[in-house]
Amino acid sequence: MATERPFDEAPLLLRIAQQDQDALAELYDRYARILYSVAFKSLRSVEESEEVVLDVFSQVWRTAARYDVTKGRVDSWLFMMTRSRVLDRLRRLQRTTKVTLASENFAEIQTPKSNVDPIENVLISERRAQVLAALSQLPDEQRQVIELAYYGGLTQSEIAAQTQLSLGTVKTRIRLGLSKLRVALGTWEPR
Amino acid sequence: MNAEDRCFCELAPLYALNLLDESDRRWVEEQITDNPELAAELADYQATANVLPYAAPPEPMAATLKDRLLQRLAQESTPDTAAIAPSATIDQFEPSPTTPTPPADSPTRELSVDGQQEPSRSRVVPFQRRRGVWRQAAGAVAVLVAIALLADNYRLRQNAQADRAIVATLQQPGSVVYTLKGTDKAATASGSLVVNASNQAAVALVQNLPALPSGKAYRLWAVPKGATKPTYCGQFNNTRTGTVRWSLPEAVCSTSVAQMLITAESASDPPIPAGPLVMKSAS
Repeated sequence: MATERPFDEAPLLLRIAQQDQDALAELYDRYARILYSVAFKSLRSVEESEEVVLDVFSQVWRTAARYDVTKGRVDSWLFMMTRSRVLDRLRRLQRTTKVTLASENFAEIQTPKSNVDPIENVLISERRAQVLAALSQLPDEQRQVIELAYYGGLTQSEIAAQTQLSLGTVKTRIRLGLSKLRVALGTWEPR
Repeated sequence: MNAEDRCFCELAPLYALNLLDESDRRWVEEQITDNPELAAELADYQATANVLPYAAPPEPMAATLKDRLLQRLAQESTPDTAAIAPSATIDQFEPSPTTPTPPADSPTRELSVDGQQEPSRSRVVPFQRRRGVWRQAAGAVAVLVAIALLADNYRLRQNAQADRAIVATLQQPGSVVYTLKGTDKAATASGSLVVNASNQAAVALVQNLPALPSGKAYRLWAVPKGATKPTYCGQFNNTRTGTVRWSLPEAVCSTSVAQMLITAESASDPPIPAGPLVMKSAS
């Protein structure tokens, strides 16, 4: 597994902290679509997903000065903020998205080539390919519960109810799946 | 799940996916506090979960969204916008869609945290329609004056309750008191924080700190002298009275430290300060 180039976005964040809008625009160009796609996968709403993207980058603009680039990856920070907002909106909206997620066709995960965007940043494309390759090593049942947890915002009990599995089986599949993914991805962050 | 049944290896992946309840989450956080190996293991799981977004199928996104972002930033930086209402100073969150409901024994009013009265919807002083514009105006003024008086009474009673909570905590031996001031994110906010080691409790009395919407919370952080990172000391949301009490998760939170900080965070995020700093104690 190739070692990730560390902290590529750190200089961008430093410039954003100095209120450099070009730097924010650059970070936006790199990650906005990923954040939007993550939000849309959970929320299934263009409007809600757009608001999540706007909220996240607004927060980046406001708090970049306080973010310690040596303590964590910028993309992780963006994804955590995105997921937090998505979960908040899911809870607030109380939509039935939770149900529809269970019937996701996972074939798209198994065919990375169909997801390649020719305009996408090369680095992002590399990361996407690595993650898809790692995910493809997981059994479908492990990938399914991980997706329900991550995108559906479901609790362990809700996942169990939806998949008609025992709570213990859900926990086991999540643990095994994430552990396997962790191994497959290798070292993402320099130590 | 009780402590005897807990296994870090099982809970760490669930923690990384935000699947744990409060009790199990705290247990995991306690395990990593003094154990670098466990902390590193948890960090690995979190890093693993954090790359899942790369696998999300790309969705077409509006090309105008970037322009909307820049417009929003321009609006947020406008001084007048921040001066309109206290909630605008913590503008990363949407204003709470629900106003707090007053207790059953009070008039039907809607009051924000600092006791500022909301537009009249009182049932105690009915608005009587009279003939003529001037009579109507006079009636409206009378209603507003009556509401203001009743609001003051309500606020005084709530403040009295708040004072009793603080007094009770102050009376405990070993209480430490901090004076809190708002940062530029909450410039008009002020208050006091009392922590006590005997009962590991904290009481905060704050003014002009808006109540956060569901899913958000204020988090208290202790910064001991010489510390390289703040210690999480619990989270709370503001109340109508401006007083809130909670149990402290760490012993250091109830000691006299160099500084106490309050940030606005997502309530479900890991205990790492990421949100805006809204209040801090005098250092």
